[in-house]
Amino acid sequence: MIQLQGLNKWFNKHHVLKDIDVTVQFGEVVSVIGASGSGKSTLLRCIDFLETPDKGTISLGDHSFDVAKATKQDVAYMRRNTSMVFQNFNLFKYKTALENVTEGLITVQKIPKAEAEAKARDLLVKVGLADRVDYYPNKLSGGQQQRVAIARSLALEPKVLLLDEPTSALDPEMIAEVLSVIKAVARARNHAMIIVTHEMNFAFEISDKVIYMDEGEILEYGTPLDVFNSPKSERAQQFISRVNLSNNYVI
Amino acid sequence: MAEFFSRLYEAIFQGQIFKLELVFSRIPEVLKYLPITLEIAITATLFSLVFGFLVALVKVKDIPVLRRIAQFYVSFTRGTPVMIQLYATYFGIPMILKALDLPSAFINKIPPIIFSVVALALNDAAYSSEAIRAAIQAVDKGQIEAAHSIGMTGWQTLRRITIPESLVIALPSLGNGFIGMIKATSLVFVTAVVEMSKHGQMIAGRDFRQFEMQVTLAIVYWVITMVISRLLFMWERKLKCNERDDGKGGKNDTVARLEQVV
Ligand SMILES: Nc1ncnc2c1ncn2[C@@H]1O[C@H](COP(=O)(O)OP(=O)(O)OP(=O)(O)O)[C@@H](O)[C@H]1O
Ligand SMILES: [Mg+2]
Repeated sequence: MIQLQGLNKWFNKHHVLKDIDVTVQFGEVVSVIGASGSGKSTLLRCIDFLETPDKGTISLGDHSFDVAKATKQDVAYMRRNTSMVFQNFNLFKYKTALENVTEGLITVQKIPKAEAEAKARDLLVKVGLADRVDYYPNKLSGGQQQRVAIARSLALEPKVLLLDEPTSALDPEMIAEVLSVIKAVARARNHAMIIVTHEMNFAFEISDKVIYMDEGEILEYGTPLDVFNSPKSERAQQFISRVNLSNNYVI
Repeated sequence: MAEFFSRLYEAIFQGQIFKLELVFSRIPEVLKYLPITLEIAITATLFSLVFGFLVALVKVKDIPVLRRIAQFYVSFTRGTPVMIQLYATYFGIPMILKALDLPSAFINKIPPIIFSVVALALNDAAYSSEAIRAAIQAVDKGQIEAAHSIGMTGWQTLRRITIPESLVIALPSLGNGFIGMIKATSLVFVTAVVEMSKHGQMIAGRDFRQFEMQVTLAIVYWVITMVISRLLFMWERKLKCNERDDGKGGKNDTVARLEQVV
């Protein structure tokens, strides 16, 4: 499991994460929802050490450390065992779909090229891109790029998979293809998955737990039914009444 | 007026003052020294890239004391004539080596081409370092984060993502630099190297046909720089074809800028 305890992050004086406590089991899917600016991205980025958290402890598997005293080894450990899928895909633009996926395998995991390519091809087939293996990112649609990015993250077999609004930058007609890939990954239960999303129906459907964040705090934590149907805090009630969850999920 | 033109015509085509035919007939002889010109330009550019990259890194990483030194180096080099830098290198390096107690037999045996390469590389790096710095800073942060996210270390990210991408970004200015370098090699006679220009002047010295020779040299330099700028443009277009906003193959700033120089 991955466990964050009392995690805090400041941007200068701006307190963006306030005493965050989260535990996610391997195989569990957790969605993070909340208004813009509530700190959802920052939370994910602190787990992947794209931002350095200022206070608190993180444990992942059997490794745990105080983030204020994080060593190079701690950061490397977190980055090796977590992987982020970005809103804007962030594919390496001078590398083909295949090379995007093999990059981490060859450079980080030192897997021989042929083996890495076989694994990458396999993954690209799984995300439905068997015929796009040798395409450069600019020749792929947004949905296809995001699926390559998902394959790139999966290739490293991370313990924790982080997805930050993976469909927000996509044209509406491409959202479904990406969501269905993410659903398949979620069902395989190979990772602890933390997804920031504005797709409420999707969150409702695939999540084991839902977190509602507000101004850097976790105000709600529970099953999708609990959080969506009977939020305790007023802020969460307001937020959830504003996002329309289609009726068939409300039981 | 008519008389003036007929005199000019005679002067050019009857070979009184100017022998047009000589301009072209000496091209092959001049070209024999093109390899030396290119050798100096290419080696100096390669050293300039490596050194310029180090200077750029110092600036990007904002390393305290080194940053000051880099700033001074760039400003000083850009603010002084290449000719003086060549002389200074030619006389300065042997002096420094002597001060380091190296035997003068060794110092005297240093091929003069080394001095010209060192001077031109140091000169060019003052410019290439700026281009490389700007390019490094222009590399998309998202891709660097993606590299970190898949576990690549700082050095791996630099080597696999940042350097290749910044070279593509910097290619137009570095290409301009290379063309400038080819032209600058015509000054290395200062360090006792005989390259294409010096060789041409030596030929012309025999029959005092200096003007024809200068025209010959001008044409040769012009053709070479044209060819190189075309090649650079094609290379750039090939690299850029993996970018989003390409495809139409329209003339971009690079060609425009390269053509300005040439
Ligand atoms: N690098 C940064 N420097 C300074 N402030 C930042 C930085 N990144 C984020 N912030 C601030 O931290 C707060 C939380 O930002 P964050 O991106 O985590 O929000 P979010 O919940 O992901 O919002 P959104 O739904 O818009 O993506 C915001 O007020 C934002 O302005
Ligand atoms: Mg965000």
